[in-house]
Amino acid sequence: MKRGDLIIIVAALVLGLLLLFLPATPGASLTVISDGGAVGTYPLSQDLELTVGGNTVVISDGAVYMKAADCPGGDCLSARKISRAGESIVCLPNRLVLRIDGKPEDGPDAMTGGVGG
Amino acid sequence: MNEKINIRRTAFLGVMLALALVLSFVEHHLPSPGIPGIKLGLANVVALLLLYRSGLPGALAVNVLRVVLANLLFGSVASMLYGLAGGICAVICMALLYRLPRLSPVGVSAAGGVVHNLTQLVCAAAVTESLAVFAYAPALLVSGTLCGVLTGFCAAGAIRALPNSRNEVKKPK
Repeated sequence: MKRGDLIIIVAALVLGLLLLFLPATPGASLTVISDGGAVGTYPLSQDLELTVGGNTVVISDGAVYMKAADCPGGDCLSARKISRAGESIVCLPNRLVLRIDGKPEDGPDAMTGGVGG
Repeated sequence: MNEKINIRRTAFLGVMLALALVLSFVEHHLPSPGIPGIKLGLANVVALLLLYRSGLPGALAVNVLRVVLANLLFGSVASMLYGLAGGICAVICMALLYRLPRLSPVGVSAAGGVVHNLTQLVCAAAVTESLAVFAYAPALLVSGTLCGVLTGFCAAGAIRALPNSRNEVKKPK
């Protein structure tokens, strides 16, 4: 270990932690994007089970998770439930993105905040 | 004479490729945390070792072949493309850094881990045509750094233990 190592390590960790602790806004709606195009937007307040291609998406108690998927990896199945604005679940093999958006009236940041990070 | 060095080098790179494949195989069987893209990157030990002991061409060739073979054996074409993008960018990044006198393999490896994860994030954003995947950026930055440090320590030990193959032209007694 040399001093340069520490600089790299600390810089990367600080950047990561800064991004991690950006204030989180509670989510209001779920946007489903398939193949780069929006399939639809659904309010988190209503429980819902939705099938998009080979994926089954569930909204339950204001949180979203992937219930079933026919992709080989199954990474999206093991992903945590998402409920805050900017959070997302991605199923890469099926090119499906589930993204939580905040309320539109949250101010100008609501638009950029939806990008996440 | 020149031919002899090339045989030595080819054999060395072949053994390293086999080692990297075994490490990929071991890693394939480790449980994965909930966030895609977080992984130990065990094969990075071999990439680093080759960078210090054989230079960029050897490290790059072995890493590319390792990703292709590993994904043919127990991956998919999609994960191969992510692996190639991440692997190539990480090795090039580490090649730019490893000659710096103030850096040891640990820091070089940490930078490589971060670059590997960020490259894959950019690829994922391109494939999904959405910036939503960047929500994973903090987790991937932190995990890339920590795993990079870990594999960096392993590689530092291996580099110390292995003689420099470039000066290895001495005839065996």
